[in-house]
Amino acid sequence: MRRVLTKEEVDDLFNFCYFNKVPYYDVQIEVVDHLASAIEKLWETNPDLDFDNAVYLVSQQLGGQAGLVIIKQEKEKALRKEYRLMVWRIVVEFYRFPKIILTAAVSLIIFFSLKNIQNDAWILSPLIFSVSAFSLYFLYFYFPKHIKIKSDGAAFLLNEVLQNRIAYKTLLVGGYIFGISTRLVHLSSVESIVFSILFSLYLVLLYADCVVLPKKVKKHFYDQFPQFKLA
Amino acid sequence: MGSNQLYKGSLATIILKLLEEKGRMYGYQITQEVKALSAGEFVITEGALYPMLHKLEADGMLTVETEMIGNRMRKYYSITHDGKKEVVDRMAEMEAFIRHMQTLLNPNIELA
Repeated sequence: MRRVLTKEEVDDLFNFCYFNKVPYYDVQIEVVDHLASAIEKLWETNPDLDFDNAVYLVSQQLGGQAGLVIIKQEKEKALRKEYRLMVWRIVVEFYRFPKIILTAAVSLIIFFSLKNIQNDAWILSPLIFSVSAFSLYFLYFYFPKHIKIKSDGAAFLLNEVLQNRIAYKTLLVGGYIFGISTRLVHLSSVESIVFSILFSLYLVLLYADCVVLPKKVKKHFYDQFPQFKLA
Repeated sequence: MGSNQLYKGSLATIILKLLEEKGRMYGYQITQEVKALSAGEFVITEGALYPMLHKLEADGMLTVETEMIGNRMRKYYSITHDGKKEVVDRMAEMEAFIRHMQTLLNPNIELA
């Protein structure tokens, strides 16, 4: 009779991945299936080989711990690229008709506000404060509650990559804009134009990263793993 | 070993072509299929296969679905419409490359 892995042995393979620096469930699934298929193949010719030795033999084919880490790192790289492409497509939409009308309108509102109100800090401060407050609220309250994919404490690589991306974008770039704006409280016309264009681009990026991208990522995830939707 | 180096640069083309012909496949199946088709001449290492599959997925060439097989979940890859177009381009490039290599390495063949 063909020997196949038991549920306990499959669980052991998940633990094997975890202790070999692959803690993410969405990466583990593929590695576990690969190891399991290779072990079952090995058992076809050597059915008496014990499970632990079989795991050792097939994991060596994968390159041991180093091989597993490479798979995880490459998956991370591929996810970052996938998210970057998604955001790029959203940004391009906002600079094409009809959405460019909205982008241009926001830029113009910021520009005319900066031109017509004497103290630029009155415009810059509320803008920066709103964006910073939104970013912090989004990252520490909204993301963990509404966006993060959760299932029995399993960690997902796509959560980590998405959260890091948003954190980088919202906090670092937001902080950079804040740093610039505190120095430039009296903007010239050219500076006002540049600031208005850049700030509207930042808002588009924020919208893409915080609103559109998480929805797409979640849909993509549930398309791939429909069992989590039912859980 | 030497031939593996030559195959490495063509890994994406091999994967796409295989998926175009065989329909959906999972990682381990791809390694076994390539090994069988090349009569053991070309062995895809897992360290090269999965990064390439993930890259092709990120590029929109492949789609993924999972299914419960026995006690474990399995990830299947299928080629997308864009992937099929890419196969045509890559195969044409590959054929041109082989022709040029033949001309370069065996110029007499062309003259004959």
